Amino acid sequence: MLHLHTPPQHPALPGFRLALRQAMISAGDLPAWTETYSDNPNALLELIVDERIVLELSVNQPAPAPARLVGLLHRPAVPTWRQQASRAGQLSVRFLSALFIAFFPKCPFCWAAYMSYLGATGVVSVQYQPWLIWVLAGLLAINVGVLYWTRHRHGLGPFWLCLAGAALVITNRLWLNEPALLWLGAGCLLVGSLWNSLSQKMTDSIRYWGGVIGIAPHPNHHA
Amino acid sequence: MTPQQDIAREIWEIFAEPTPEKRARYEQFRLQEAAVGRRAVRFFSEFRPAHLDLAETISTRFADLVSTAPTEVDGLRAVVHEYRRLEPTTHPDLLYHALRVFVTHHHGSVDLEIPSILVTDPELVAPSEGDGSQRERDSRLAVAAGSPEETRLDWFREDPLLNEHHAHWHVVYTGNNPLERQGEMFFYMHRQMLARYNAERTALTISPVKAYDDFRQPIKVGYAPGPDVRLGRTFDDRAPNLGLLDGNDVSDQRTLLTDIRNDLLAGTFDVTAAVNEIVQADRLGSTIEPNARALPGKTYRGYHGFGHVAIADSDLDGRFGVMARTTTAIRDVVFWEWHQGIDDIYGQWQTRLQPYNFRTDAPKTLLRKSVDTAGQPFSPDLIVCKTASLPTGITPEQAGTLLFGGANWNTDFGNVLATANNSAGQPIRCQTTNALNTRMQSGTIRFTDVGGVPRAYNYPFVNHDPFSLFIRVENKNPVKTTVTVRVFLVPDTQAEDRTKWIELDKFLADLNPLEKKVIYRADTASSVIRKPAVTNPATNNTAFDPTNINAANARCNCGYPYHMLLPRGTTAGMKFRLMVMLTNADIDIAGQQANCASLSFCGTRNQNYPDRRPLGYPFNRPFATPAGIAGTIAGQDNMASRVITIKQV
Repeated sequence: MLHLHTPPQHPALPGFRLALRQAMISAGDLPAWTETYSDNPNALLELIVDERIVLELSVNQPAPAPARLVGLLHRPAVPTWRQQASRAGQLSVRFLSALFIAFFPKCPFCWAAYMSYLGATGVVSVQYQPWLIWVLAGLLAINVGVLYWTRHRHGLGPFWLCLAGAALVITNRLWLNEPALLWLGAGCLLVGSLWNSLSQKMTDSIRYWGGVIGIAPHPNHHA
Repeated sequence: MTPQQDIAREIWEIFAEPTPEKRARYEQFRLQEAAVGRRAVRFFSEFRPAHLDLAETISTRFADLVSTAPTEVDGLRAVVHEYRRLEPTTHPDLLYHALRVFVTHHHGSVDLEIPSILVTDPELVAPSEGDGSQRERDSRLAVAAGSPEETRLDWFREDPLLNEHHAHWHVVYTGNNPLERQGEMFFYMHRQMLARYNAERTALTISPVKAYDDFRQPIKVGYAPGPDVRLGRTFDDRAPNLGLLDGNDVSDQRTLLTDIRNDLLAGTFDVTAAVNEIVQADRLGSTIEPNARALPGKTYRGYHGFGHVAIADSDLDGRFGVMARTTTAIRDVVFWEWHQGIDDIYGQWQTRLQPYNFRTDAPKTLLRKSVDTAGQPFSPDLIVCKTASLPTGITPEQAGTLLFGGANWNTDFGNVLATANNSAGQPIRCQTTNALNTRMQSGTIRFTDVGGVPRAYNYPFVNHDPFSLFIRVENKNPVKTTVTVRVFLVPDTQAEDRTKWIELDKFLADLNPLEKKVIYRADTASSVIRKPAVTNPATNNTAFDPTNINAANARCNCGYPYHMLLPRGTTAGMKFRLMVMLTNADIDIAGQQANCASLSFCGTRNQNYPDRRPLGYPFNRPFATPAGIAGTIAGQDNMASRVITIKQV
């Protein structure tokens, strides 16, 4: 996408837009771009292609002829590895910060859910007390109850998932003592709790991306 | 017919009863009362607070009768009984107003209907030109001499459904039980009417409306409401260059206006950390209108209504002009001039607000910019189609995606026959256009006059060829985003005057993560019009239809008439600028969206107004210089505009 950065009162701006339109049509492109404005009235008019300035006009310079612009529109723009890394980094930071906010426990019930998860799976290092299992069972019950109570948000999926997870964790702690089952139960609890803590918009987005990569029904744009 | 349908029909028929006879009978009663020293309302006006109080008492009594009855139908029967009991001793216009307020705000399971104004008050919307006979023409010209150019807009001011829109709005937003943001809406709804009126004036090369805000000056243009309005024994003519009655009104008006301006300058209505601009706009509007949320102790409380009554009472014979009633006021040139003065107050208050920084809360969306061959703004992402040319057998949304999305995303669609293949490989087409057509049509008002004389008047009205808007928008956000789509229109020559922008639509659209979406919107779905869209006024609720008596299909009468959605333009083609702005719905949405009627002018029935932004956003504040409006639109990825021609054919 082409971009113009210019003071809005730049004398060459109207003529430049027309020339750019003609140049893009000549080049077989859709005549379309974005614009931003500089507060400095003496700033240069800049034509930016693929994040690189390809033309600068001072306030005294006239708009160039369309033919001159045509040559500037399709400069090969191979991003450097630094640019690629920077973009990936920016995207990751934004994505991770969004995830952090989405999953951050925002209410006492969320805290209960997280604590029950951490406690039940033994992530929290505490001295073993026989009564602790019943405290954890209570917290899990609260967690599962809240999921049922808030089923209007995401349906009963998170509830069933956490119920299964809680059953696995408790039975495993009391009788089976099988590490694989413990982690399976913990996984169910984690996914169920995270699922429920997501906003509807985030769930839709995940479902959408799941469709794109083929692990969910493909998003139907025409629906 | 069910009991619900039966009572709805009974109430419908009360509204359909001829009012002139009722007025004549009531006048006999009033004279009898006067003879024994008792006063009764001589002329009802919605702009008189005392009259509104009387009507409010009655409408509240109606509501009480329903709420205390064993069933809703029983309650409504009691309302009809009470109405009939009051009829001989109550001014018919006052009683009708009370019943209208009750019906409009009734939210039971029985959906009550009010007939079209062509049924309730046909004589009040008859064209001032009468039936075109020489006698009537001479009479009218004698009164309206000196204003031939204003007469060219009679078709606009006297449009029956536009008059109905104005009257109905004042019933929805009545003075004694103000709705949320009523004062702000009072300013905004009238500003929008003025913007549309000014667009028509521009088309006819008539200068924009000048405020009439000095009662010491005569009112230049006269107005003769027309023969049947007079036969309705209701309204008086006003000769050109008539001064207002000598007395308190003249000096009071200047004092009140000075008080308003001084308060504005003193910052009485300025935005503070504790009070935002919506609250302050509401306070100012409520005080000027007035409604029950007016600021106490202000001398100018009710300045707007005061002006209506003073101007309506400007003749010496003790009769009133059309300015006294919401049903008829907009017929008169001076209505627009008086309201321009009111709008100037609103504008003066708005100039004290800081320009928006639109970058702070814009959704990450992209509408691409370009120019046309004349260098005018022309976004390739705003595509207009003639609705008649939309392909069949496929939804418009699907057609839009196939025609303008996907492989065609980077194709320019100005004025071409767009083609694509549907999923079965068959070609589909749609004619895009840079020009929208309007045309003048004719309707007929028929009624039986006082004395049983059948009357029929032809009236002109503007209509347009149905159109559909397709908006191509790219969601740059990796998560699902909901945007509010705001659509405006302005005469190209007035594009830098923010008060001249006409709201065309406002709606929500969902965008998938990083999606390049083609949004479809039909003109019939516009948020400013009443629903369902009335394409022919003659079919506008002129007969009782029991199939509509169903709350699920409830019709809501608020909104601008569909046939006037577009300005008329000119025969040569008049350039307008169409603008689309996308805003973040997470910030905007304050409540449930309207499912009928006009969201823009009435919000959602019995709910808070669904848009948290100030009314008219983004045109409610001055724009930053030097970019101005055009520069701001060009510099924002979430805004775009294009030129479109409106041609009267």
